[in-house]
Amino acid sequence: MTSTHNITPAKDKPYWSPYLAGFGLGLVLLASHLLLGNGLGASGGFGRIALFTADQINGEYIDTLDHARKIAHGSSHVLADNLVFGLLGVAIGGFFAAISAGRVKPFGTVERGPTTTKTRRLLLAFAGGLVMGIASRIARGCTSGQALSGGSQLALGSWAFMMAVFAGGFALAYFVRRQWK
Amino acid sequence: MIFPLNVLAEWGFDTTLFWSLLIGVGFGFMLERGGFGSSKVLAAIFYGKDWRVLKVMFSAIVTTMLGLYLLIGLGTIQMDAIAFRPTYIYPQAIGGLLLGFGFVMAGYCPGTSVVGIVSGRLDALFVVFGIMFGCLGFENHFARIQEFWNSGSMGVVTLHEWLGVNPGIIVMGVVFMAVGAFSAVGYFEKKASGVPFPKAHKMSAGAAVIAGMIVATISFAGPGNASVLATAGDDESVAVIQPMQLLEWAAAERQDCLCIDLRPEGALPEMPNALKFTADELLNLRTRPSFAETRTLIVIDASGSDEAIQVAADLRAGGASTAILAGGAEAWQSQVLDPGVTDALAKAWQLRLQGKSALGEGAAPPPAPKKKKVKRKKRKEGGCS
Repeated sequence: MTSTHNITPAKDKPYWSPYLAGFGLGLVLLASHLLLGNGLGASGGFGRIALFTADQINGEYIDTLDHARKIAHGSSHVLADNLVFGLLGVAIGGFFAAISAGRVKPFGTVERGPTTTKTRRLLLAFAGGLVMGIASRIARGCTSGQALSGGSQLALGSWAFMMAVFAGGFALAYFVRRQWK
Repeated sequence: MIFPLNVLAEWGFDTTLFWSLLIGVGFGFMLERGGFGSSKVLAAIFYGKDWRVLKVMFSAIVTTMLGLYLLIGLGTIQMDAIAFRPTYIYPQAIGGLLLGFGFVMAGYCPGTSVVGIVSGRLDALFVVFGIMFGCLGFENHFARIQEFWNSGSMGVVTLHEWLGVNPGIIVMGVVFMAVGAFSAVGYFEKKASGVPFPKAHKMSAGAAVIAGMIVATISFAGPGNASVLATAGDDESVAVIQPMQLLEWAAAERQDCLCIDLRPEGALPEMPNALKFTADELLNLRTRPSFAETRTLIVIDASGSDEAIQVAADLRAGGASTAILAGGAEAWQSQVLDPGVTDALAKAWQLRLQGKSALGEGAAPPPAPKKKKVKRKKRKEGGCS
């Protein structure tokens, strides 16, 4: 992909063809359905890790929250969950892929536009994460659990979700464009 | 072989976690190779600079969809063991919009932020901090959001069920949409950089269309074309529906299903729209009782035991469409009637039983198309992802 070379530094190996990577991703997602009876997910795992952490700090308060209590103090441990282990796997697989392609940056690298300060980029990253955290719980999933998994199942709501994600992204893109400039 | 395998093999929980980890490894590897360890690459789609995200996403969706619907068409998937995403149309649309906002601000989505972190990016770590705080914020204010969160519930409904067409049509539609989108962005890229369509583009598009045609043909002609519930069991096994699915049917007052209660007269809890029979009485009805001609019979006993399964199998041998209620009346009691349940529809049902109120708006699913006898059960409440 020519356009990709403009974006990534020349010393990195080029990414795979997006079609090949997408095909591979699709096979993984299909395997997940056939082996586990479920698609992939990411935000649910973060939700559990966050609840686990909060529970260590103030378990009594978690007990007062109807929805959180059921997850944090359910019949099995809050972290003994497919989504949490899936996230761990993503970290392992992602690291292996990145290091074998020479793409691991020294830790602490902040990707940003040449005129953007680190602080500005990190603040936007945090704020964006915050919004996504809330959004993913409202929608019962994120790009992985809804768009990819539900989308390939042809689930009606997941397609509505996917269209809405693109609509939201394109609508707000103009206002945060400076972080890449 | 019937998928998914974990149901048949009855893997222990730890084995499932192990496989989740392995599948996660594959997921992370492919995300990274696709370029999703970099926020610049991810955000570039929203500025029309690089359409990688769209290409990877739609290639993946098309691949999985073709695999899934091929196996469904061949009748080798136990549909009710797959966690199809239920539709809650309003929270999904609004949540999607918000997630789009967050995505373009953060430059990562939740899954890709992990790949970003292990690629050494500090901004990805900040995204993850944000996500976790966001999740906690949701949990903290759940009581206030709950009503909206449960609004627009339509149960498990796919695009083809919604439109009332054969899945093959939607499969082809999605393939053409993806190929069309690839061609369109390829055209933009050609204009921007002067580079012609890569060969891989034409090859993938051709392969997708051919594979789509095969899947669509099987979908029209294959054995899996029968009703979804019927594929859930072969001659030896019996279809199973979950209490929450029965609740949706009951709440919608569907006339095309009927509960057959095997428990003695006066047993509690009372099941909705039920006829009482003993197993012996039913033996005489094996030659397809008149009430079974247009209805799915849901056989219910105290706990979903072998007796219920046997009765359902017998009735089906007589030509009726049957299923058993998973866990029997006990499961109905604990999942629907228990005062502690939080599901909005179950709460509404309890109120209705108490004669206090009709079903709240939004909690009631829309009535299903009349001619359709059976519907896939709803498996999982929101679980993922």
